Amino acid sequence: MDTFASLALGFEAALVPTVLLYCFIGVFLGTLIGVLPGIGPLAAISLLLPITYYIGPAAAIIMIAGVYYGSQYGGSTTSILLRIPGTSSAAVVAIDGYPMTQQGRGGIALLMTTIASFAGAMIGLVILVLFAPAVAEFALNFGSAEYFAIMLLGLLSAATLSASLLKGAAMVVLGLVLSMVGTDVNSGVSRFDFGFVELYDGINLIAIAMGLFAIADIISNAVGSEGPRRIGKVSFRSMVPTRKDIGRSWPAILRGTGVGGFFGALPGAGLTMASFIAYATEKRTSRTPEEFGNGAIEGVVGPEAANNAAAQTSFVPTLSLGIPGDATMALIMGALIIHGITPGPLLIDQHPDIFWGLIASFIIGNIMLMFLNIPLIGIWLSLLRIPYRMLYPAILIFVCLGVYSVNGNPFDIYLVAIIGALGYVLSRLSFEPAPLLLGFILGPLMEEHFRRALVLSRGDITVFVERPISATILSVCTLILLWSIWKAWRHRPMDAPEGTS
Amino acid sequence: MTKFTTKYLTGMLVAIGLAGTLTTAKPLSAQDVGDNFPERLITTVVPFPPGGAADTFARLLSEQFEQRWGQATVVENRPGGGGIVATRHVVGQPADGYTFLIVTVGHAVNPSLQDSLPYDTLNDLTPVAMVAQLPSVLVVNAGLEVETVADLVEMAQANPGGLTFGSSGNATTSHVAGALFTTLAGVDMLHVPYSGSAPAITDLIGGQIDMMIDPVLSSAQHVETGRLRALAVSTAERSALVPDLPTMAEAGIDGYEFGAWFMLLAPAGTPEPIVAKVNAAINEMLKTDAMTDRLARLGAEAVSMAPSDLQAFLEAEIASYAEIVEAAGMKVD
Repeated sequence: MDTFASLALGFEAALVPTVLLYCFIGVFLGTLIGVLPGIGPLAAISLLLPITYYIGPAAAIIMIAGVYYGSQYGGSTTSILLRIPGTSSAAVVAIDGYPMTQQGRGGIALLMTTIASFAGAMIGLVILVLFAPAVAEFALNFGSAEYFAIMLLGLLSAATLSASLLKGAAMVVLGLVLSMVGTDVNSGVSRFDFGFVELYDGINLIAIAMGLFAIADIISNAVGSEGPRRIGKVSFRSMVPTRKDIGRSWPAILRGTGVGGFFGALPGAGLTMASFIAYATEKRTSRTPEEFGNGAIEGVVGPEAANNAAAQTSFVPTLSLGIPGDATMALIMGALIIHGITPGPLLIDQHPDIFWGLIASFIIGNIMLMFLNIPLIGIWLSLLRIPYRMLYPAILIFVCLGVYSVNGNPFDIYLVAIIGALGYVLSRLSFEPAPLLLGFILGPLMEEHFRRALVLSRGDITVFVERPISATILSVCTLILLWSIWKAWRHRPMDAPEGTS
Repeated sequence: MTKFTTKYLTGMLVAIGLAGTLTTAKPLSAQDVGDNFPERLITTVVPFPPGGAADTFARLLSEQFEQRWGQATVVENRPGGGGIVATRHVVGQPADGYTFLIVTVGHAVNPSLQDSLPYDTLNDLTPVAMVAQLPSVLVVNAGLEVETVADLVEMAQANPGGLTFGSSGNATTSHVAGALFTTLAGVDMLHVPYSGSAPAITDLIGGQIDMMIDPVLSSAQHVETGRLRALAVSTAERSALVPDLPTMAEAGIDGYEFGAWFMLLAPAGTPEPIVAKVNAAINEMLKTDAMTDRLARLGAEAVSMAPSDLQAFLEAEIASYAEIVEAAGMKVD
């Protein structure tokens, strides 16, 4: 059966009215939980899972998948408007999205992210359909040494996000240090818990994200150190991007999609890493890197295209190998297993209706998301009309709810307050919080892969340079590092005296 | 809103009425506790991330509870520390019959594996019901030049410490199953722990590791497509799920018997009538064809036991794993 005939079969399964309804519910809920800070797709899907017992497997998986990729559309909204990432993969969008809002260009940022999301998802989908088996096969070459190398690349990208490489690296390391808290996967020993039972599972990621971004920002505003908030006009006219915006955006969208499509297909690499590397790619390839951090539109659309492309291609390992890349994917796979369908190499042959139905639903779902999100922009923008003194208590409530909802433990609320204070101090010292977040997310994974690579090599550290893929990635890391250092060194004498050029 | 108000008022009236009866009549007997159960949300704690076997069984049970009693249930995943994080959490919960813990072999291994546990495995928890047994299969990467278990043993003997076996983490079923194999076969293989079965199977397919003894379901498709080769089944008798595979004993590993079991526990002191009621309910639902069928699709077989037998079973398992841990020199590594 060729791809088009299969897709036709898929549309037949996905266009059944009830299935269509579940698809809509999925993407709608996804957008909503994406916008709400602190509530991620994992929590939402866990809650939805019991419902899926009562509906057919196709409808169930289509709805749950909709929540997953739908949340990637919503995540950037609060990132851009309020500097509060709705999902961790949208944290990097805040770096340039929030300055755009301050310049009165928030509407353009929102419109362009919706378009970038749609384009990224659709191209990611093409990759998924055409190359799923080949991509999955390639991903099998990735052992622990390769994963360690690729995560190092991710961290290096994160470090180069800020203006100062040294400050970026410091934040990555701080993130790694914080991620050490909690039970060690390898030995079951609880580390740095200071006797707090609540720290056995590590510091709550949501508490870190909300503390560093939302709470730190609220403290800054209360102290008045950020100056008065400049919020531009909120009209529909302000949503229309200029020719220049579009010209700068589309190459960034394509690059972001490429980066995201690749990292999404690697089981375990994750959407957050995809968006960080996409940002670093934009900054590095830009002819005007000094604009980054001050509202460069490439820094918004590139990562946004990347995390949506990754959200689609992360279905590759799950559907074609039966290997879930992250906890959320494991849950999606679990939903199928409960219905007696095991995702894996035989899925396409044994359950073509499920496989192609899901693919068709991705197309339908993304179109729905586009039409859902563009009219919503006006509503989100009007959030900015609310005076800050009335907005911030609402933000605080949402942050507390989101943080509390993860473990149902008040401890995390105290934690978010402490991290918020830390975030304020860091922002006063002009440290960018996003690299810390990636360091925190990748820390435990990196440690696990590093130790496993060494176990497999019987303690021989040269394993990282002996394996070709790992060696290649590490060389890229070295080049980036050397280039950054060289650039910093070259720029130093140019900044001080005038008239060198 | 109206519905809520009505409910609220009814609740108040019932509460006032109840308070009245309590002061005049005798307190609620243990039998009443059992009869009225369940009156509110039942939580089942899973010591692993969502998507795995334990998680799926917990969700199946929850679904059945909801259908049977019309009471909301929730499955809570608390992974980490070879199940210790979740177990310690449940031990600290009130013994009122509304918190359950689903455990597997690792629970019986932890006492001999860890220097100290933050709970007493036999006395802090009370067994409620046996849920299922999962036969495992010994699978190797298809590129490994072995056709039988004997070939594998020969290769491992020729190359001490050279072959590797993966597991879904320390003290997990696949770790125990692998260690039992190396001990009984008298070979030295390197243990490589992963966080969960899926990444370990991925590395087995990719050829990063050589062997794994994991439940049927996780490798079935890969065996069928020829990426992995199954050599033997872990149970004492051949399994209906993989009838063509020889048992380990048939393949030359005398005395090898391993099946992952899944058991429901509750904090010690949970009222006996509740334990009996849940046990009866689970045993009854395991007998239905629908359930047997669903279990088979998960690569599992239903097993029923009375609460009294469960405690003895658990004690025997703990003792036998203490021997394996001792013999295999397994420790937290």
